[in-house]
Amino acid sequence: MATVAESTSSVSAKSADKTWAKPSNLENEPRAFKAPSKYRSSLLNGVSKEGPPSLSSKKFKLRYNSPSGLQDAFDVSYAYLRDKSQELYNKIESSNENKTQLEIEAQINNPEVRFNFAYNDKLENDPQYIDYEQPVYRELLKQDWESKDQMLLMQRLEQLHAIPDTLPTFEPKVPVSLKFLNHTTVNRWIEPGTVLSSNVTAYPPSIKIQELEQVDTKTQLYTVLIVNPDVADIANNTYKTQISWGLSNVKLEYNDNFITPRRLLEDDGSINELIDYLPPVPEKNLPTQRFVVWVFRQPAPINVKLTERDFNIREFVKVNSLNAVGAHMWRSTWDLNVSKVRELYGLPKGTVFHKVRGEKRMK
Amino acid sequence: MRLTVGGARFFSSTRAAAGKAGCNTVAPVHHTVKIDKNRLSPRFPGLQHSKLDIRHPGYKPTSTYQDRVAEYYSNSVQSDLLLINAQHGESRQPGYKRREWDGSSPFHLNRSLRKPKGSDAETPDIKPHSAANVPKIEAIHINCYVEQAKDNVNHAISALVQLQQITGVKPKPIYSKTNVLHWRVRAGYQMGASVVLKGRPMHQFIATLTEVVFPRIRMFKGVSNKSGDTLGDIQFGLRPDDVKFFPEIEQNQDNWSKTYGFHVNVVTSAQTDAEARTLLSAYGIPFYGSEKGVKPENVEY
Amino acid sequence: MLTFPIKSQIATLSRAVNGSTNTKYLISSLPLQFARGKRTKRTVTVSAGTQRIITQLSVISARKKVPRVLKLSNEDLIRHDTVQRAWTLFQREKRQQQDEQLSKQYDSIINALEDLKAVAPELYAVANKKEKGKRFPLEARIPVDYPPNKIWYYDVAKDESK
Repeated sequence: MATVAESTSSVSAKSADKTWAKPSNLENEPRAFKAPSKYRSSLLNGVSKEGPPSLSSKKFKLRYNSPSGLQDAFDVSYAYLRDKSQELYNKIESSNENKTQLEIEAQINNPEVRFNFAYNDKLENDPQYIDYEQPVYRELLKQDWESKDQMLLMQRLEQLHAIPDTLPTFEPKVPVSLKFLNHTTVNRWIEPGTVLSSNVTAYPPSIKIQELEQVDTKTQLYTVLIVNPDVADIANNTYKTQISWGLSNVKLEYNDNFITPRRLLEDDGSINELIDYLPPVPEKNLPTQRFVVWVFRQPAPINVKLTERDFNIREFVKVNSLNAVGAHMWRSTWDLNVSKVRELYGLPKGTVFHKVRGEKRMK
Repeated sequence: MRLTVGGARFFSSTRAAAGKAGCNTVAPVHHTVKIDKNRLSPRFPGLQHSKLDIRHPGYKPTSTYQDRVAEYYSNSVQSDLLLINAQHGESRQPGYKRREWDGSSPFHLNRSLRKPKGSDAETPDIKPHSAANVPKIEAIHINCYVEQAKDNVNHAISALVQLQQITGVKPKPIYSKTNVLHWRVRAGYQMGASVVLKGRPMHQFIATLTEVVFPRIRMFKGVSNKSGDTLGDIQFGLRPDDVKFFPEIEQNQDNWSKTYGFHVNVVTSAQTDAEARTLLSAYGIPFYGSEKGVKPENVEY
Repeated sequence: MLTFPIKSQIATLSRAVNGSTNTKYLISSLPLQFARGKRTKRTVTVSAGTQRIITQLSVISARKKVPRVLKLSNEDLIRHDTVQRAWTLFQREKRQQQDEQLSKQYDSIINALEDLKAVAPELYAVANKKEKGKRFPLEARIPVDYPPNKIWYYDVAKDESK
């Protein structure tokens, strides 16, 4: 039987020289391609007698036993994968075709890269360990996102009818995460579809948009729209869509892409606020309102200002030929804080509707 | 005024007043993302990993030993079979298909199609041989029906354990489907066990069968050349006495005072039975008797 | 296992505790087996055949099938994953090479037959005949690590007496 050992017998992968393949013309290897020095030795050369550094308790460290034979198998596998990776780098140098894909394939089996990605914060990433400038980390994030969060988002958008009530359909390409930074008690990432207190949503959310595909970050602009399709339209006996907040001409870096209030204040005027933030102030006894965050890639700068809240999102998207790439949503319902939020923004007092509307009453 | 029209929402009517039924409807899907609910459920965190991940409870280390049967096939049998079966200028031979009615009667209009000529059921086309469709053994189905189990279900349990001992794969119990009065069998009785072998357990079974069991069966002639379902699957049976030669049973004869015979169906990707027999002969399974379409002087033993 | 006389003694014991009879005598004479949860009914004895079925049922129970998940450190999880990836990649490459080899073989078979058809049609007709009933020789064996010294007895004689 031809084994991995035979096929790579020419290459010795002794514990001493474990360095991953790299292109010949690369001066400075990205820092994120190396595991932190604390873990590097035990990751590549096997867990020493002191136990794995990833365990915190000394008791467990001493008690830990690595599976027998793993080190030998790992040495052979590492050498094999590194050779494959070197072949890919040679291919990149010889031709310029498909460069990003080959770069991903050359690094995706690097145990140090996988270690960095698996055990560091993927959302609030430290570019020292997870550097989204490198296509391999974007690919890993994409796989991670598709394995859970993307499905969760689409399930919520579908179940709560954000599609097709706001936009007809949607192919998610960019993870969008939401946080209300001003509020101390809810300082966490919001799961799509959560019902939030109006106190939490009194100030605009901070939105993190992580681009995954290869784009020119210098020129690519994004639009963010937050729309509420559940505003009562009593005159027409229906509900209408209003825009709660809109930003356009947003530029995003791969590693610096968190749109916070501070960033908006410090902005040099490149970001265009389509309309200022109107917090959710649902009326009493009306159904839960949905607030859908849509993120678009825009082909050209948009410098208009909106004057009216009533908003036709489909028309806006069509006119500006926007491409929906990311979404998020939360829900709001009337609570005791609504009147305070109304006061804060100088809004008129809300209406209290009857619990059961319609010709026939419930018996 | 109507309260609801299609899916439109009216401000003036709440759900309760609209008299909507409180039943679930499945809304149409607008996107291409397939949702795997196992991944979204927080109940079993282990299931959120891939099955190749050691943290998944279903992770199974498979390649733990050399699979000599698979290597024998890929190293020598496969290329030989390609040479045996290869034909120049082959074309696709259509199988038996259901036929149109001739339209002589107006009642033919919505009548379901006629049966195929010469067969009750449709058969697949026979495609030209190529490097992509060299026959190989795909699975082995073992079916062990125990007649005595109608009186005592313990026989069915023992048969199941016996199959598990022999194959190393967990069998499924089989149940009688209908009442058969003169057999004194009623629907729902547990009547034995069946197991589907694939991959390494299948190769292990073939090797044991041809190297240990078959050579020791008294007056063993082989598998009949008439066996086969015309679609490339070969069937044969083992008697209770033959089963005793499996080493797992033989080494533990005290516990196996009674053994149960079973039927074996070797599922191959061969398109005809003749090709399947050629394939099986490579594993050391002998065949006896006359084969359809082969003149006696051409028979090789 | 409680037999009848002991049962009656326990009844007396409870009475004794209440102070109606001589406590001293009873406590010293009785082995006290009044533990909570102790099986009081007669244990069921089963026949050998039934016991075998019970053992067999326990052999096929699902509980016996699932081994405990290994707890590995973060480093070892990544190392294990690396081995798994290398193995998968290696298998894939091996498979691709074999497929390539096989299709090359097929192409050369067909090319040879085409040439033969042009050069010698009669030979082509013989060569391209469908071989039905073809068998691998019975001597063909699945290779083993330790084959016997004499693999096949070619000189075996048919037993004339039968």
